[in-house]
Amino acid sequence: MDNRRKNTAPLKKPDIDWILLAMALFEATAFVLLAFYNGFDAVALILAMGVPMLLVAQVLLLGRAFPHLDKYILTIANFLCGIGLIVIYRLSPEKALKQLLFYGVGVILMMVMTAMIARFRQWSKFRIPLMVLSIGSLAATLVIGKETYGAKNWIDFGFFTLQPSEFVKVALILCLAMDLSEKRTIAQLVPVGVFAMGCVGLIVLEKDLGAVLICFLVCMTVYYTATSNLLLVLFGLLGASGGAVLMYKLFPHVQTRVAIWKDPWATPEDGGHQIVQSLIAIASGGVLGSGIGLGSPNKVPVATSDFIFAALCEEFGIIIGLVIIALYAILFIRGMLLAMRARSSFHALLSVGVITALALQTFMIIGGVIKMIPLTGVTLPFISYGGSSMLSCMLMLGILQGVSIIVGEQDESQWRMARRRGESGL
Amino acid sequence: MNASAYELLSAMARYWFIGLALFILFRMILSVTREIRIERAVSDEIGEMGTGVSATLILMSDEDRKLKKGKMYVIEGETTIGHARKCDIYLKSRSIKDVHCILSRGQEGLLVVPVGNAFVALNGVPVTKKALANDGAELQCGGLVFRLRLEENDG
Amino acid sequence: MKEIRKNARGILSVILIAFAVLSGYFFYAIYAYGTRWFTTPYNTRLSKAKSSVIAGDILDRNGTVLATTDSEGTRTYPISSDARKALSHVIGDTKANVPTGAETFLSADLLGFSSGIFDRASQFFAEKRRGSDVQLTIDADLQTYIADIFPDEDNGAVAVINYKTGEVLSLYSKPEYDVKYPDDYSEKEAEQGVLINRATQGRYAPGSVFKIITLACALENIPNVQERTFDCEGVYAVTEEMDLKDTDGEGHGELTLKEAFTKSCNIAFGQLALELGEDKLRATAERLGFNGNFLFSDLIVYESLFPKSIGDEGELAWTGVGQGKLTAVPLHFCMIAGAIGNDGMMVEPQLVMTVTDNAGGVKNKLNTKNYQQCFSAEINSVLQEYMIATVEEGTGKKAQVEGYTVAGKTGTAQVNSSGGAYDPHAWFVGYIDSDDCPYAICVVVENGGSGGSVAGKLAGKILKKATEIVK
Repeated sequence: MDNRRKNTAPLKKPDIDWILLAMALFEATAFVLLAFYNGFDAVALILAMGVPMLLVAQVLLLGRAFPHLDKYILTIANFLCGIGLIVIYRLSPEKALKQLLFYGVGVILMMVMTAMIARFRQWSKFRIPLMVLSIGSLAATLVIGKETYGAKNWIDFGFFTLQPSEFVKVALILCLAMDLSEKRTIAQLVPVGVFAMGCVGLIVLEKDLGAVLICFLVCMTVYYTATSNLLLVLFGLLGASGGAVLMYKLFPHVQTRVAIWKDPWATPEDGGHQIVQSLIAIASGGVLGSGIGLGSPNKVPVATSDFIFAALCEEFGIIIGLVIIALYAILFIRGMLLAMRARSSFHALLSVGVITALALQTFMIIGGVIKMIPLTGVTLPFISYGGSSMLSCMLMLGILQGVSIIVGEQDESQWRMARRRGESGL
Repeated sequence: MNASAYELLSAMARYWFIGLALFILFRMILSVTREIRIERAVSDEIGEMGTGVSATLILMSDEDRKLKKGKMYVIEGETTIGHARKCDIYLKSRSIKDVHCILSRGQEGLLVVPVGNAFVALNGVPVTKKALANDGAELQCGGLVFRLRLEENDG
Repeated sequence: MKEIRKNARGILSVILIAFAVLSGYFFYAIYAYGTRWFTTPYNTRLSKAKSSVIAGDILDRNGTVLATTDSEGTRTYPISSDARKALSHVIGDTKANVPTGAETFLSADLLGFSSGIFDRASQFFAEKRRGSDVQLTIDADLQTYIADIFPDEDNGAVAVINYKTGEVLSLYSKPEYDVKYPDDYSEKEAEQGVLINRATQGRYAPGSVFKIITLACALENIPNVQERTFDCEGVYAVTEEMDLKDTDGEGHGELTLKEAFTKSCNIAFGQLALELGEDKLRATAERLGFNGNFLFSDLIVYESLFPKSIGDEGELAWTGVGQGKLTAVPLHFCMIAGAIGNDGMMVEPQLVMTVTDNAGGVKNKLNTKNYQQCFSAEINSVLQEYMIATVEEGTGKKAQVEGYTVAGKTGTAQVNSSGGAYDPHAWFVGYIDSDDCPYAICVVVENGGSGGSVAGKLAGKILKKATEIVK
């Protein structure tokens, strides 16, 4: 017994109970406040119990079931989901309840994905079906899709709308990691290359600029990580810049976007309206924020999805905005460390792909909302309202957790072996 | 609750939220740095004791006679063999391609995957897609021949 | 795996750098532009707050209440109608016709957007919440006096600052309007831009006052320029089409550099500009804030403009004497003059003295911030000497104030408008060389005539009044 304790001591992870408690308190107080905003709202009170419980139960139970789960990533992602729920509930309670449903389904999907990555070995069997499904769904979107904000990237199922490009992102990461882990020469990479280009091309046709950028850059990053072929990546980036310039010249709506970014105040009531209102909202909140219910985040257009960061900053303040950026950064650091600890390139590349996709998405939308870069309509991972976005983020979270379990198990077994050899050698 | 009471409460709650958020952030940074230290210590320990090794390649012969016979190469996790410096095992031999093959330790043995049309043979049989090598197998990469030593992995 | 690990680490570094830049930019943008974004007319929160919050008082530096809200919730101005007009652009109006006025630009404080919890708690039982009181650095009496003595028939602007602390004592802009009746101005006044605060946003041709900058640039770049003499015959042909002329065209004869400055000789300074070249002149001007981006926390100040490219030599020579495509903002030139008085250090202008909330908490908002060291000590002392000489024996004699040493430079800026010939703009910039009354001034009288006799005289009177009444 003593011996075993000694054996496991260095593997004991620091506990995160205090963090969990703080997060639960944060979410609970916010919902309690919302319950008394504009009269009394019993649903918010239930959420004040439910949402923190979902967070704490998930981290504690899953952490118990899989000791090698990355609790930090799990905690941060769930906390971000919780904050998203709070902000969405403040803006529109009906949407928040829908989002809660997506969140719940997302957690289940995440667990399924975790288990699959951690236990399932024959991933190559999925390669062809994934590719076919991705291309098929993108092509279907082009045919029967619905157009919103200039991009045709939704399929309407009546009771549920789906954005296939969000899921194609995940499929793309899986396929890239599968192929690049075994094949490194350009000739071998033709099939996956064609697939990736096909996806990017179809999304270009959908005019979903944000998704194009994310998919393209994820491909480039994963390819670079696997092969260190900087030349080809630079060539690809150059080509993409050329394409971007061409698109700028050809499509007037790209030109207006850039013009809006340069000076949104020139057209504050039509083109620049979104960004102008977003900047005003952030500035109105100031450093401390206006307090929940005391600001007017509903003045910001699409405040629940693309511009949720502005709505959040108005009522919670810039400090919390910065804390959230920092939490994202910690999540990415943990994810990349997984890639560095992984023993197989498949898992390393998976983590790199997932982290790149999440980081790009976060950077693009926060940068766009604060007018640092031109706005591209993508969602803020885990926080923004939207079923497809929530589910795909949860799938990516599941991939990270799966990799974490594998890495942790390998670490532990090797460490035990090393320990035993060391002891017997003495 | 009347409006001004709510306003006061909500305005006070701002400090509470900011306090909690900063606490979460600092505590998180603290725990993560501690966790990273532990992980590093574990990987150091595995490396130091030298027994994290699960497979070794022993050079049996070299066409060019440049590399020393009997030299041992350790395979840890997934390993790339090639002529390029970026490879985990890098061999200065003309018969080896920049990235020649990828070896990875699976449950059943060592998985050998040649890269591109690099010549790899296992026990004299050329490998085209992939092959599983067991303890004592003879692995030929270009003009180099290795003997594989696999150690029992207690999974 | 080695290289994958290395690449993953590289990508992580890139991500982290990107996020650091993101946070940095975020913080900077809010810090620098937050108030500007907040007070735009597109912020509907402001109009909403105006109906639900009682706006706080605006006071001047002596505690005189300039604007307050009465028991019925209407905004009133308990000052004379002359004072209301004189201070119109500083106070602004509740309809945000002048969006740079205190009523709008300081509304975060006035409407209680930045109130703390103690402030809120102290008003728990109040029917309507009240914002904070804002005390400005403006001296209402001085500004009313300026309005009183400003030529009746001319428009223009006057800025007076304390060049050591940056406190803005007066910001007068004419045509004026009555803040009590913000929509009550004539069509002619609207055409002339009655709603623009000319002291902070008016862009004028600077004329000879720009010679200060040409002089500074010459002192920096041409060795022994002070020993030089210039021969002025009144006209100097720069190119075939372009002549450089003095105002009267008679010629000053042989001049030293100092004489050329005090007599404001165009020929000498045109030649200096040609010798210095466009780039050096622009570099000096940009160091002083030309073409920059002023992001002062209390007030919006437009920057003066130095042309991005100068066509030919003739234009360059004219730029050196303050004509051409140059434009100058009165408060900016006031700051430049102040910098010379303050040993070369330009300080940021400040408009807000204190903010007092309803719980009695007083926030002191005055903290002197250095904007830029404009001139080295040696060059600055030469500039001081020349400017003092200008007022003592040169073109600026009328600006003298008994008992004080005044330094300054006059300007008579030609305006060629398509509408035909106009009288030139009269300029005076200068400062009092005194530790007790460190005031810098800039006077612009549109189409007022000669800088020395019109603007200089006005400046002398204003500075005298300032030394008497400003505490």
